[in-house]
Amino acid sequence: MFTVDFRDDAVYAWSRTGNGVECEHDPDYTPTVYLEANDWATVAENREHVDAHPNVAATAREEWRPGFREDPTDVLRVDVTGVDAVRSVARQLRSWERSGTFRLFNVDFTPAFRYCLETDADPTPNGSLRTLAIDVPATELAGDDPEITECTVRSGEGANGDGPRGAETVAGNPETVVERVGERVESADPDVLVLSTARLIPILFETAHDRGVDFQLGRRPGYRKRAGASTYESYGRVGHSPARYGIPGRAVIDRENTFFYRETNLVGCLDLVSRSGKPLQELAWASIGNVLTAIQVREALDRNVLVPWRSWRAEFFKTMGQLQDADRGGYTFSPRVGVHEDVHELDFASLYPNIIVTRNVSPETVRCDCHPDREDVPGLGYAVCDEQGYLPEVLSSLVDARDGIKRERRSTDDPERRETLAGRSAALKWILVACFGYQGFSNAKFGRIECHEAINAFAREILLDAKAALEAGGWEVVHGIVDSVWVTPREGAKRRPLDALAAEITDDVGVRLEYESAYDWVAFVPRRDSNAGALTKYFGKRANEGGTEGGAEARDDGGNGGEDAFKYRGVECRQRSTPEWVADVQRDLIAALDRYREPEPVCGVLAQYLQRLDAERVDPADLAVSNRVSKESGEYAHYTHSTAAVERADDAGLDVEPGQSVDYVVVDNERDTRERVALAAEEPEGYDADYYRDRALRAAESVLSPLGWRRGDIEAYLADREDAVVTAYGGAADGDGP
Amino acid sequence: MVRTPPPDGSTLTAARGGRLDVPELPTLDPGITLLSTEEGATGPLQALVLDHLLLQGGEALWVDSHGHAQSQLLGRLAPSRRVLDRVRVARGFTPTQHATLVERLPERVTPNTSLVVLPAIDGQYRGDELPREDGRELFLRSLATVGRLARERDLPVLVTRRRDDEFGAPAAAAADTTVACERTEFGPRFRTEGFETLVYPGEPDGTVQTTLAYWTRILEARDPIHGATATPDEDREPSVSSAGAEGVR
Repeated sequence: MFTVDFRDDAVYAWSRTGNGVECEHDPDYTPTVYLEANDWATVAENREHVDAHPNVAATAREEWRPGFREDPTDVLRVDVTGVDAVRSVARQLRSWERSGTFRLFNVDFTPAFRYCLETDADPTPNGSLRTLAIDVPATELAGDDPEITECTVRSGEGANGDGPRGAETVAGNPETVVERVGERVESADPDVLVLSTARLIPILFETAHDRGVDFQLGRRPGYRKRAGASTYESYGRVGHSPARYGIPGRAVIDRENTFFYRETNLVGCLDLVSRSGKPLQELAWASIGNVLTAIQVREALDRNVLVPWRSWRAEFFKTMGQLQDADRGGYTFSPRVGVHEDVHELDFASLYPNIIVTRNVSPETVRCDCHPDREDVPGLGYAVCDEQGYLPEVLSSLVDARDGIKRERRSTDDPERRETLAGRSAALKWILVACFGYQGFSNAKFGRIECHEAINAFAREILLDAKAALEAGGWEVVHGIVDSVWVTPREGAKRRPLDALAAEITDDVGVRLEYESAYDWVAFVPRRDSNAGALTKYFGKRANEGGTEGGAEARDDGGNGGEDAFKYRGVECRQRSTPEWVADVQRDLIAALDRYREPEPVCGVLAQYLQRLDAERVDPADLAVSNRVSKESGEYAHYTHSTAAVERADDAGLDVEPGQSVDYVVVDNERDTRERVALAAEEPEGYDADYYRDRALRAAESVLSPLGWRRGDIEAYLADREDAVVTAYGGAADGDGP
Repeated sequence: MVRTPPPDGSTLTAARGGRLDVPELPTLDPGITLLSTEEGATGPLQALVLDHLLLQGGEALWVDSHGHAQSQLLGRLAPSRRVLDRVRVARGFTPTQHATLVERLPERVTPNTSLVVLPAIDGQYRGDELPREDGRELFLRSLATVGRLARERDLPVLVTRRRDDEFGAPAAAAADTTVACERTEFGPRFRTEGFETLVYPGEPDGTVQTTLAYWTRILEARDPIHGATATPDEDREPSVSSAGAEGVR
């Protein structure tokens, strides 16, 4: 099976067979929720009302555990007439008694995931899936009533790393385009439609309807809107959640709204389909936390534990002192500001998941009732139960699977196979990375803040142990954060090889310490307002001789066009809001620093860039700033660039929702009207040179402050230099620049 | 009882009539005390809690919401780590979690409990996680539990509201005392019916420092009376050395 449609309260499950597809019609499917109260009598009293509810198909008394720490108890199983009625039935049931008396379980599952869970259907497709991709340029979709006059259709997108096959650009009047798209879909008969945006679905259908074209995208006529667009707030950040659409018999991947398809590939997604039990379309749409929850939901139900609707499980009381210890977060040695030669980076492999697995950290094991006097978590004094926790069990299979995939990838030369394995490994990596933060997320179904704190406490201890061992081995630790340490040879000390030390530390703490990379030099940047080191702001040059065991996947180079000699972290050229030109300037200054190791020549390079900027010779397109919009226009307290940009976008009829990005060029920073900026799409001809000079100087300060030069020093140098140039040439120097 | 700043405005705890003159803070009596502060004020709630513990001894039970129990902030205000270990906190991040914590409060209270603290007692129930009526009902239920606890155990309970509006009004109705903390040119001032205290003069030049540093100084200046009545904190850091505390010597 690979996709599920819901129509008129019936279910249609689609599977691939040898050379075709099969659709199984299930008219009798009734989704199930559970109801529990403090005692069965309260439930029993209400049972006849539940039975009488028009959307309730049946009820039954069953025995389940309402939580991982709880014993089995009697609960009421409530079968609902269809997936659309689940939420409203749950709401009504709860409102009957005083709020909070009834607890409801297994309520907020996505429909197809629920179907697979409750019917034991496996959403992993047997055999490979046919895919077809449709891309429409964003400009085609602007305005209130867009029609499409150009798009690209191709088959094989993304599947097993295949390149685009049979790409065809379809152009013409909207009728022709709709007709041709319909023909291509019919002849390719794909199982998966990869769309540049799912908004295409209603637009194509409306065009066909308006113009009397017979049009079909699915394996049955029509489409279904599954949820409306909304703006939400998550982790204090505003996001935009667009409408979702489904079409019969095909899984839709909305490229505007897919984390896993973007970060991995179809194989990576399918790997997670098999682990989470979420069918492809829901998986592609899902967030990391949502997939992690799905995996845990399956584990919980396997252990006879129900899934709470709302998280009633609250934190345990702890002293403010404990809270202070717990709040410290992952351990960090303050980086030694400056440029360090001959630096080696060592990382603990998947530190947090491995702590969970090796220390048995799980919501039901941390601060268990059975060992109140034990102090297993260093510094916090929490007990951790000996009973095998469910979270370590879930994660150990993921950690093992990823290790296996990485091993296979190292041993294969077949590029296609490597690509496939890279996608699967990346998909698992994201889940493992997220499992830690998720434990601290207040609203997580199975998270528990004490787990989060315990993991941090173990991580601190591990990092401190590693530091002590490395120092005893003749190395100096110049920086350490969360799961990484950077060392340089300690002068005059007798040194032991890092490989041997890493192996000893690995044995000692039970988590593998891997040699990550060697650098000719690394510069740790101070904070802008003090001489203390900024925690994650550094750059460096990789050493030539190998040492990068992790391979390409472990690398993350800030995307400087394949030139991965340098590594950048936390500096301007890595920030998404930094204009391309400023990023270029900074990368070039870092290269200059590598060549000269002195601040003056680096400033010389900067001066050349600034001359070009002043002479209006920089392409404004390279000066576009990309900012995420967090509020509707008009809701800002201050008149910022973003506000101005959003107002301009409104004027131009471009709809920018909170959570979406807007690209603009600052053209007159002194103004406080919408003339302050121009949208990148307006292709402005000029720019505010002073504003960009300031941005360039900030970027330059990041590069030079490790050498002790602050902004004032840089400006003083530039002023002296300009004076000298004026004296020497009697005018501006040739500004061809670097 | 109105206290005015010392005439020269420069010494903070000048000896007067042969006794140490320390800044005053309202005492927390049994029953619900609603503290109302200006928006964005940090410190008065935390200062009152620490002062109470230092003065009365015992432990505080603190059901937190909206990040009031920031351990770093408390850590900076507290004269010692020991007093931090006498505050027991659990945080409600959702309406259901908050309600669960409140429901379990009575069983958490021990003879050693001398104060219960619930900042933003209405805060979790306002969100859109629950239908508005459900949120309101859950809030009223929590409030009733807290009121019963204060009454039956004769305990001081300190609460604040997220917002002063219709939704939060029941908290004011349930309160036995309301203490307002407002900013004045001389620094924050507590006001309640028949009681007004100008807690502390600002800097000699008339500026008012950041509120956190302000409350730290208040607590330091009250150190002598804390020492006199509370169980001694062996690891209390000397507080007389800090700026402005010369008058204590």
